[in-house]
Amino acid sequence: MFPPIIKDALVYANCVTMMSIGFTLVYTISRIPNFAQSTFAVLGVYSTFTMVRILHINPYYAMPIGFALGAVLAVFVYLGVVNTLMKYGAGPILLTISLLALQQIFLAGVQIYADYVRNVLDTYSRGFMLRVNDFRIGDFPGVLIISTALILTVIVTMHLMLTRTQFGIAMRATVENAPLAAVLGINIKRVQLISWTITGGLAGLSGTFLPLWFSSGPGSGGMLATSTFASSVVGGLSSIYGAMLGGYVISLLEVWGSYYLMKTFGLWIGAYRMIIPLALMSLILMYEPGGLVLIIRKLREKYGKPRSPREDEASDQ
Amino acid sequence: MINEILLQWIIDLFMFFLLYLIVTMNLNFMYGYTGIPHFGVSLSVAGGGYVVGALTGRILRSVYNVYPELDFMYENSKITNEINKYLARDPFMGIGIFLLIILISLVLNAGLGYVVSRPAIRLSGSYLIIVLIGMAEAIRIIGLNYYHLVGGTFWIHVPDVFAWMGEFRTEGFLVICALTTLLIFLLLQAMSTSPLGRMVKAVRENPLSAECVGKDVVGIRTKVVVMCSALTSVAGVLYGFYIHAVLSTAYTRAAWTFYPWLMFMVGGVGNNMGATLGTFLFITFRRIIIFYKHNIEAYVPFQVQWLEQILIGLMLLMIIIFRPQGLLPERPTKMRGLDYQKYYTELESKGVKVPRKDISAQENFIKRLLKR
Repeated sequence: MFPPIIKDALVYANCVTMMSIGFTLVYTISRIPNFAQSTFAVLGVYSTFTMVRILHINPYYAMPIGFALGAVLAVFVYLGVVNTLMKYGAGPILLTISLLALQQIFLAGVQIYADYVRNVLDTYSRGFMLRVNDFRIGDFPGVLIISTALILTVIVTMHLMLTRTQFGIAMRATVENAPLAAVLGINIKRVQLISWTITGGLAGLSGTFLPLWFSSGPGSGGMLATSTFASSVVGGLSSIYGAMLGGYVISLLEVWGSYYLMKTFGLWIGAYRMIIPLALMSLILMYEPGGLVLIIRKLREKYGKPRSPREDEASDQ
Repeated sequence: MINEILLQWIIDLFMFFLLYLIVTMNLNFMYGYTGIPHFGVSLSVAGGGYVVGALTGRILRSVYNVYPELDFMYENSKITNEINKYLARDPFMGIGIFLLIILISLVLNAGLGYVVSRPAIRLSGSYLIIVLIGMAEAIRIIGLNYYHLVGGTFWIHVPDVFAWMGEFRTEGFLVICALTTLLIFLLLQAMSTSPLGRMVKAVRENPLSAECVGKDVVGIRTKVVVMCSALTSVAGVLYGFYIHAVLSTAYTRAAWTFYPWLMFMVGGVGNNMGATLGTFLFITFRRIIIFYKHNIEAYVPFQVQWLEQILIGLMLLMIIIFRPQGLLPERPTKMRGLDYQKYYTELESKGVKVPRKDISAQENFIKRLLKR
């Protein structure tokens, strides 16, 4: 009764949105596109794999582990590489290259783990799908319920943090103007560190859900990465609200678009589904690089009622 | 026996050096000179590869009318074998097809370069990087899934257009590659020492001021990307002809985007000699690893290629941290068209002492002059 295509789309959208919130958060605060992020998700994927296939326990025990792994790795990346390079005065391009290098290193690490598991424990360690190990409530698979609940929690928490807490205000100030924020006594390094931790943790969490619904492996990060970049760019790369919006718009359009294309033209077209987010991203960049956030703001200025200053403040993060 | 292996190893080394040199040189022109962070170079290489794979066999098959009743993709090796027999007696056709394929690849990849860079070429670095990485991945996915292009996850055989060289085929092809690379090297070197080189450096250093003095920054960046994409694809074409096959799985981001970036970061950004040195060092290092890989394979419960990836990644990080300017840092280029001798004699006639022999002393001298 609940069409599988909607479940597909929602699980995917939840994962992508979690990733794109992190991507945008780091970009707005540190001004670096975090290309190593997709590897944090792969860590999540393999923590679920370990829980189910090696330890034979409930896959959801992987959630805290995926979060912790992603967060620890992100902290390591920030303190060990990004911060060090910034001290030496490296620009955004050098940082990007170093993040790509880190991605290669981490991915190779995951591949070694996969090889080790295959050779020593003699199970498939690539291209696995653990849908059968998930629980169900009526027609709903557990991963759909848990990931939706989690993403709602994340969105509400982020919103409250950014608008109601001292730290959130410090964060928004850093986004607005980092040197000025530093002059006013905000510890920028700490803000950056925490944003990296959140990003890594969310990416790890998002990865733990993937194998419960999709066929996964070391390449899963790459699969998520394109959609993540596209949703962050479509969202505007300027506010996490945009990232949330972009995440859902892009991934729903990607899944549903490819579904209807497959229905019309045949199954072969499904393999090219990543063209959809890329095309949408290109369109946005060509016509409105500010993204959906800016489009909505412009529309509201044109047609809507004038906004209260409080609202303005909230959407400026 | 040992000598044969050594010879093969050396030929392989030089072959990959030349292939990667084409990519690195173009990358250097895009990033080092013009400041375009092109993180999707693999897409041009793949584009060249796809042109070779998809067209060479099909064109030659219709020329020689080999097995017109068989399916080209499914009976690929049979058809290619038959074509090779014809090619062994037909040097003119071989060379003609080689040049034709390079031409087609240049044109198609120039178009491809325009299409992929169009969305973000006018935006800041990060956007461009994101778009180009995505586009390169898309090209790879298309190659992996569209079976009739280059055989999807399998491969497609490429007819040996230099079969007429007989037993000197490998060496002969190496010479042809060397000449092609030399041509591209000279072209790019000429460009970078010409007024064009000064202009692209101005675009790199400060796009805003370049725009203010009337340079069309977006236009220049687009032209550079289009030209370099076209030239990079030659590497893909030569690679396809060298291994007589095209595998779409070979054009990964690691192999054709990340390694070239590493090479010219090692050698020196914004300086063609540095890019060459970096490429040579890196390729030698990598070939040695590949040669000794099997000796390690027995002792570890995983594939050694991952260890290699980790090692290479760490190497790049070390270089970025400890020597970001590379082994040969960028120097002020001597511009062609400026008569340095005239200035020197003029200065000497005024009684200023000009250091003519020592180049670094000359540079300092020019810098001091400029400061005055």
